[in-house]
Amino acid sequence: MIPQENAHLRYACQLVLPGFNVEAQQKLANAKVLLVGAGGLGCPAAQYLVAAGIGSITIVDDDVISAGNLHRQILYAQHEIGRFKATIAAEKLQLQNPFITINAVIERVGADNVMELVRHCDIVVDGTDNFDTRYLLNDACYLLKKPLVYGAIYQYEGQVAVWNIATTDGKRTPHYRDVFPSVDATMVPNCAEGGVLPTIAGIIGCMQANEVIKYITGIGEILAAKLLMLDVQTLQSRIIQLQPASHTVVEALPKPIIAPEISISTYKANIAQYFLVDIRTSAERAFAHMGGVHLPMENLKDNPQLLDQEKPVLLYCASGKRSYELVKILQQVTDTPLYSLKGGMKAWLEA
Amino acid sequence: MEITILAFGIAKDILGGIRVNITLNEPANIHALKQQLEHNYPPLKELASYMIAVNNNYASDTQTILSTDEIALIPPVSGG
Repeated sequence: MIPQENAHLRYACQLVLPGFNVEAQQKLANAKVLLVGAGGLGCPAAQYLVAAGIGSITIVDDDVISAGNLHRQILYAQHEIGRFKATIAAEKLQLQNPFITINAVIERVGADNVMELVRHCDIVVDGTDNFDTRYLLNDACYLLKKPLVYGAIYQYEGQVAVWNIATTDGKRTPHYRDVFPSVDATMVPNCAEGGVLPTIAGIIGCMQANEVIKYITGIGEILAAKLLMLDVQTLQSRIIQLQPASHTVVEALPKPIIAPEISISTYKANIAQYFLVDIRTSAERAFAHMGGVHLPMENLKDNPQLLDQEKPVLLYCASGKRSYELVKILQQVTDTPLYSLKGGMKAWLEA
Repeated sequence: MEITILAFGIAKDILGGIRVNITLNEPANIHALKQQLEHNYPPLKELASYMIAVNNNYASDTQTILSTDEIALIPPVSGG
């Protein structure tokens, strides 16, 4: 049974929907959803999933709330800066709907825990902000045959798709690697670097919740074998029809490549020990910088000998994402110890 | 023939606009288009992967292109 006495009141406006009924509500109550990333996409997705009456939601995020999150991560408030996103999200969402189970998991999703997290759910929502975790989640869902609701945002644009749905002929619909087999992450800015309009995060996150509700209840037509693209500057949307079935086999989880990071506090305590390098563009450098030598990313990729320094080299960018990805690439071609400044200029300014 | 490419995401920055024209020898397929694009805009190759959609359908490398086709260049997006 739906675990509350006034369910007919709480869910009245969806129970009267054409095609929706008590059985559909019961399916939501029985469902277990894994939400990875409690950020710009995860906040709105979680709010609607909780309000709609999903029985069990697990929110996984190891990050803490920062000032730069607040314009789009609408579950969080000024006084909660520095606290764990998953904890705060779960607390507030539980107040919204006390009749469901909400678990906060303060862990970074990695090769060590992803299979266990995905195994116990019916459907996964990808609200992450980096390619490594997107591919990891994709591959875990492929291996465990779980549907994955993908959402991603950049500036004024968003993408939504549902990967890995079983078809009637025993195959699976396309997954992330069918569309984007691999990515050089240094080439694609994230929200902190490229910018993002807060409302596109809300819209795409809501669309992800929408796909979850449709998948669980069987109502409507989910975005399987399709990729929706939305541009909020024009509000033009298009749905790209993908191939009907997946052709890309995933045999195992990707091997993680780790880049060593240095925190702002560690750097501040040992400034003289590092050769600091700003890898951002000239325009970003001109706007503001925190010292060091300016060697833009493209320049370093083409001339890794520039890293031949006596001290360990510490790379920084706007958010710590580009420098992290660049260390992953460059550490394969130099013997100089390389580090990425965690949080980048953003953390420097907020420290 | 001359065809128009609609660019999305980071591809708008790489191509320098939301709409660029490119000239291809006929008959042309998606593979030839990608080669020409990567020749004209080398950072595209560095992306490692991007999708070409023709008339809102995923296009494989062997698909033939007509001058009347609407061609979209869709790169991966990571933000969340």
